[in-house]
Amino acid sequence: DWSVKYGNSDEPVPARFDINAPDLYIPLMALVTYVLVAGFVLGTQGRFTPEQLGLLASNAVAWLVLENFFILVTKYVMNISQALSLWHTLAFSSYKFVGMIISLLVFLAFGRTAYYWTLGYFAVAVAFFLIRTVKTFVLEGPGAYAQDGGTKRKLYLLLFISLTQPFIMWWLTSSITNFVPGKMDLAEMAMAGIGMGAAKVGGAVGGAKAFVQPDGEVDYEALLRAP
Amino acid sequence: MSSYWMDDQNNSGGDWTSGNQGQASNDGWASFDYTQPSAPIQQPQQQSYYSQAQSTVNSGYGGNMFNPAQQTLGAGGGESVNFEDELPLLEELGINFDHIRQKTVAVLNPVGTTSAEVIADQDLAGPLVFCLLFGGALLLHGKVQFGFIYGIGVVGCLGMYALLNMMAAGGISLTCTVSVLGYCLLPMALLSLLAAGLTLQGMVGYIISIMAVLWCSLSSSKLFVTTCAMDSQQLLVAYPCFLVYGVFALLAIF
Repeated sequence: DWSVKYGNSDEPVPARFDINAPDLYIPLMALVTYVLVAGFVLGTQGRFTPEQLGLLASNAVAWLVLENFFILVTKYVMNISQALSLWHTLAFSSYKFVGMIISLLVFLAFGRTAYYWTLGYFAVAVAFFLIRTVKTFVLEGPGAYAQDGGTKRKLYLLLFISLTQPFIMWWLTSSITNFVPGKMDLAEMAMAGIGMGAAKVGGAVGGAKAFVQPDGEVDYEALLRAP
Repeated sequence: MSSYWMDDQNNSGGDWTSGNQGQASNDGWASFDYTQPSAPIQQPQQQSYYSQAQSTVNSGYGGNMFNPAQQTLGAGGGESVNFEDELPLLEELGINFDHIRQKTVAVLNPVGTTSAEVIADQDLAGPLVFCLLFGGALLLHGKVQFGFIYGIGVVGCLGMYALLNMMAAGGISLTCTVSVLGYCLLPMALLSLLAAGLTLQGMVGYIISIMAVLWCSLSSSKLFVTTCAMDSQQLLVAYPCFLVYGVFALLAIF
């Protein structure tokens, strides 16, 4: 049973009494836990600075805001504005952070392949959950008995919400997990382009690796000073 | 705080409830007339004394209200009596070492219990010392990160304040949140002192850090639950505290 219960005055029952009612506790905790776990993974890779915490948090919040703003505008454009309120979409769109947290922990424990499998599983799980819950919400909720039900449009919106979740899940975690220590691909490609190949090819200055710092940045000053 | 005022007035507040001396202590009333509005919460039988005292005091004023030296009948001149009537410096500043000690012991012992009124004494001296201790220990590690500690602390306290006010039936004040979160930073300060000597990167280090964060979050959730009287929600309060202290642990480890 996926439906949300309603109380006496036709308002949804608070989350304390109904297991299907969306509330913002899990989403908020999931967001902050994601920032924490991502910072921890960065720390194990040697890439952690306290500024990274702010960057990760701002990034995640920006994607959330963008996604919800898009959904809000779409609702008004498609004339189904009473279907899903902003707080509900905020809550529903933050449930993907739970999957991201577990994928990152699996990445720490078991490596990249296991991370990809976990990410795939949670993408499917979140899409399934959203389709079930939001469909019930949208079709039987307070806006369902309007004159023009707009069922088809609501379902399109629902599909759109469900399909953006896997993409954002992958995008936010990939920057943390595609770190391979000692192999800065982009920097090495650029070095090769200016004539400084890999160490085994030669070059008096020891090749490209001398100028690439552990967090992937290139040390331009040392590069310019090199003969 | 109001109890301090009452004590200051030659126990005229205490005499207030013991009926018969209401008339005799009128002279003590006259010098501090602005405390009288706190009196009418009393029972009806003392209302009569209030009205009697009121009439006598009102007739006894005659324009001498703003000359305290003429009113006090204590021994010696006016100024020396006022000086002796002043509170001791620590009480006036609000620093109560016994409460600080009790709260620190409550933090260090996560399975003990503590009384609600000790926590309700919201002082920020202890938290300030613990934050500076944490920052100083990070300094020993070569990381000058006082700004990050301050920023994360402010964001964490504001978030905790908002969350607790939404979750608890009775609210909680911001200074109380800051005070509780600051006191429970003590184990994190100890952890970072440990990190200054040994490195915490490695499985053993991670486990020690997680245990320290759990210790902090257990103590702070216990103090919050005692203050707000939300008994069955300790785990719900403990998780946000775990997140706040987890961020501090990240600062200490990496």
